[in-house]
Amino acid sequence: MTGSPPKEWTFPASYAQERVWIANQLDTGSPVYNVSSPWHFAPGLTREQATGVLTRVVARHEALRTHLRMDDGALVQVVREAGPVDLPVDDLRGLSTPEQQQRLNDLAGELARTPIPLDTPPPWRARLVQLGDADWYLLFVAHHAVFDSHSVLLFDREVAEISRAVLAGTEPQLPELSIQYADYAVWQRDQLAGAELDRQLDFWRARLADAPPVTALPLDRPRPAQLGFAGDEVHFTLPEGLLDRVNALATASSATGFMVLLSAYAALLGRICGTGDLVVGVSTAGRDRAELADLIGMFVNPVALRCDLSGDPTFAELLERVKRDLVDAMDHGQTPFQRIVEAVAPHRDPSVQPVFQAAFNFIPDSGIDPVLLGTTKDDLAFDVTAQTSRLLYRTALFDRRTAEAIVDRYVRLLAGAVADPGQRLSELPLLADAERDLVLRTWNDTAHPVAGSTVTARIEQQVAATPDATALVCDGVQLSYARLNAAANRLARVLVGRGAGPETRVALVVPRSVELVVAILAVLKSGAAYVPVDTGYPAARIGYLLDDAEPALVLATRATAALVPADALLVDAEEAGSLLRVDADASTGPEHDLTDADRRAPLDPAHPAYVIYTSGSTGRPKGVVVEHRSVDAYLAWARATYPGLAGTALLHSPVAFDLTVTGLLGPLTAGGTVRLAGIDESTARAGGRPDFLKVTPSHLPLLDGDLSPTTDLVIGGEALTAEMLAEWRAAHPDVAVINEYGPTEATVGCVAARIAPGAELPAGPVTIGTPVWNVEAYLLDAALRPVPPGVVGELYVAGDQVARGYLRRPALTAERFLPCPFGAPGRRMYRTGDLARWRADGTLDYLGRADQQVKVRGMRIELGEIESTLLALPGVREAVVTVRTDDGEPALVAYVVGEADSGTLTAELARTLPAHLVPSAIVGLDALPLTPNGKLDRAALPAPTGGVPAGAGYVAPRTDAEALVAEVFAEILKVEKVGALDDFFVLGGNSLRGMRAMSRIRAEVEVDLPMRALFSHPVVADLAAQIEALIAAEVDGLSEAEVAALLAAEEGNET
Amino acid sequence: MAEPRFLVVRNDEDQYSIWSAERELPAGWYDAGFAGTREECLAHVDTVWTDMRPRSVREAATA
Repeated sequence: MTGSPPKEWTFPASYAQERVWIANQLDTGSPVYNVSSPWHFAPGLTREQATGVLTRVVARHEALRTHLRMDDGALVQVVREAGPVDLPVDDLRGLSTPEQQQRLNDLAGELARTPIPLDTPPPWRARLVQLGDADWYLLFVAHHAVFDSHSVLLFDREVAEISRAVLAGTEPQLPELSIQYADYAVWQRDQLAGAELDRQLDFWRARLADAPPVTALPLDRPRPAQLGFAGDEVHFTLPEGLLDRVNALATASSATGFMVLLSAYAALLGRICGTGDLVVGVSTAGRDRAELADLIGMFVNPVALRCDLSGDPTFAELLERVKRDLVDAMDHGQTPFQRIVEAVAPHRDPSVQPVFQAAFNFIPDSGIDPVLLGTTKDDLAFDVTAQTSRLLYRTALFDRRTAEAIVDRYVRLLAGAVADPGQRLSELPLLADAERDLVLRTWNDTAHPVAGSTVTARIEQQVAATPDATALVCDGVQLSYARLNAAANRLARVLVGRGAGPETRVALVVPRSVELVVAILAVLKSGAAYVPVDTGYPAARIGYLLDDAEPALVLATRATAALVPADALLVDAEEAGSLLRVDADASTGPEHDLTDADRRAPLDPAHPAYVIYTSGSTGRPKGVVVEHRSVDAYLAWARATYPGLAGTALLHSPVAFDLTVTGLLGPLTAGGTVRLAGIDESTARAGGRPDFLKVTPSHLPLLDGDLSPTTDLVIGGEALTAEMLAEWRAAHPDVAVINEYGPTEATVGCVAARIAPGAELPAGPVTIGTPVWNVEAYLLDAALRPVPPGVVGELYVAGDQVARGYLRRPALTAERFLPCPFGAPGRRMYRTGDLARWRADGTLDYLGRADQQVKVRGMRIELGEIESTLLALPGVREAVVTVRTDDGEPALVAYVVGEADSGTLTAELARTLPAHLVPSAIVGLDALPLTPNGKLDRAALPAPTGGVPAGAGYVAPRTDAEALVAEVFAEILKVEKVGALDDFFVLGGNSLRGMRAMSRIRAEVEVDLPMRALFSHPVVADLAAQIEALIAAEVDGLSEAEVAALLAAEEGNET
Repeated sequence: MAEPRFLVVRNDEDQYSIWSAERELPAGWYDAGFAGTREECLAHVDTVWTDMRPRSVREAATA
């Protein structure tokens, strides 16, 4: 066929087209912007007539003859002259009706899921399906850049009317179109420009000032570095009558049904995200002018609604706020959303959709799109209708089960809100009764009969049972249970004589030694609580502890005598030496166990066993008072869980740290042996591998073949990831690893997960498991209501292991030990200050400290996620990430031990992590600094030297590609000098300018460089590397002959 | 917005704590007769909770 090419006219693209085009660039191969509008013709048409109907509709609407193109750095719409359309036909006449239906669905799905490129006409795809001789079905799918949901209604109306007229042999009655879409675009550009646009943008800047850039949705997976459009949808129907009640509340409140539904959505998000400030996306039809009513095209504009949920308002109050704010927002609903994005979020992070991530639509009459596209534009988006509604969700972030749970919670909360709008948001029902039961009871079904006892009695029972077994090995000395007990009894009598007894304290300023263990047992036997003091602490801190604890008595050694008051008892001095000498004769005092008659008062399980000082992030160290009954309860569980305690346990950490209770009192109540030695001392290795060892994650790299336990490796004290464990587990495949969580206030360990030998351990944070015997774990929101599984809550612990409180600190105790609304009346629960969430299997994920919520640029950061990623890279043995504020602004800094260089690591992280999770500096260290307790010493981490790479002065472009990118950036951004390390967005770039820059670069290098490459690689050198990689890939794709031809051409150029 | 109100509360063991005045008090806990801001309530606890031993321990000791 020959003939002149069709005539074309160009006009500026509308703002909406520009926005859709830019968003579409993130993945041009996705059908996310396809809109289906199928039509079943009334019977009686011929093929030519059916085709003619579509020809006529396309002729009427320029939008359906429009494609988009970059023209001199600006996006234009190209309108092509009208002409006949050509429709392929699928003949299904030979099939049965059910077969036809099936095939029709398949064809519709196939068509709907085929991406429509915007740069080539037409902006739609269509087929005719023949069901009978004169029975035709039209499949029609258009790109959203030219077709919105109102266009679907117009399209249906026109196809219906034209085919009616064709069958009747009359002229169709269709409204006159006074303008076309391109006219609107020109008018809009004229209206929304200059001072008027500035005025509107000022409104949005004020409205969205300091809004959270990311809604903290409870994700199932970390955000990937790049957001795609992959999505899925959960369909649901509002229960019978609910929409009527929604409308009734709306009427009574002078609001609309949409406002009620939207308020419930905001309330839901507030509850599951734990926030009082969030932004929800809604949209306007954008057709408020009469001449636009009949025009097919893209008019919809997103509107960001900032929802203020602060102060726990009633639902009725929230509805009033939403009403007021929505009216305000809609008054400015014509401000092109893309311009708002550029104004409030110019630093685009390709892992996060800007301004809002959760959207809400109420489309009461039109149904949802009939074809499942497997895509979504938002992280979460509700489309509520009077019939089938749906929740669209991003599959990169959410599991289907989570999306279903969100739907259930929305419907439950909405029903509760309209039933009683006087309820506060925190009171609205979120959990189903069954779910509530699950998190409060089923997952806390830990009841286990334990006869309440004192630790003293347990140890004495063990002495009686195994008097000759070895209880303690230290510095070459071995003590049997009987000899250890005898020595402790002698010392205990001295302590009682010096005033020690139940409800008093004895401080121990005693280095790791046989004497230390004897002293601990002696204090327990006297009925007093021992207060271990780390002899490695600075003198001032030791002085503070001895002052604060108000001990009845201080025990020290000659080596530590200078640190303690003069009246302290020196347990290794001549006068006391006979107390410990195991060959002592009877003259040194009775060796048999003390009874209540020997003590100053009867000893009860409710008396304190020890007081251990902990230093919080703020304030002075505080003494945690732990009663015998709690220690006894923990030890009962530990003995049953750690078979290694009946063997040899290596005790290496200072006893001032409650982690050591397991390795000290555990073996002594299980018939095992305590081997006391520093982890770096040769005596730690003497006698073969221990059966039991408890460490912090920071110790893991120190565990060689001789130190590693044979039965149980217990890890506590800090967050643990699979990456930290991988190497050790691979080397010791037959040892169980137990991740034990527990603040001192809930006695050593209150939640634990056992990783059986050989069990698969998924990457990332290791679960802390389930509450131990007779302990309940509650995950609560700010109103102390249980949060649903998957949702982040603060961890509260109740049960037998809850400590008495803080020594002589009533206010602090009252603040942290709260009335427990669950379980037996009158009990308390300890507020841990830790964040966690229930996994679907009833195990807990530890998510860090609530008061150390790490935020950078307003986004919540999980440092463990970055650490895991670093540890998974070659050449990284240890990694720690912190937030530093050395320069005033919070910045992420990573510390690594290993051979890898920081440049390579930064590049690797940038490939896999969202931009906001890539540390601004990576510092190499020979070893991580540790506190005496073996925990990471964060205060000792050095400040990074030198500037942040991206901001580090001018570096001249080093390659041709860098020079090209720098030149284009400089020109587009009107910046004089652009260096290899400069960032497009930092220099003032935005999406629109980025669009121009990329179009310029594409024209220069003739490679298909996607727009998203700029979002993920905004630094000149990085983008240049991408371009070089693409060129290399293209060369690889060439045949040998083509390469030869290319080279010949190159050579030709040179000569 | 007004600062949230709290109550000083006490259980049968004479252990003190604080509780939002807006929320229902859990079973086994009683109003100890002082209401105020969080800080005021905590300051009050400091003055009244002078013996932090649970009541049962205290009574056993004096029996």
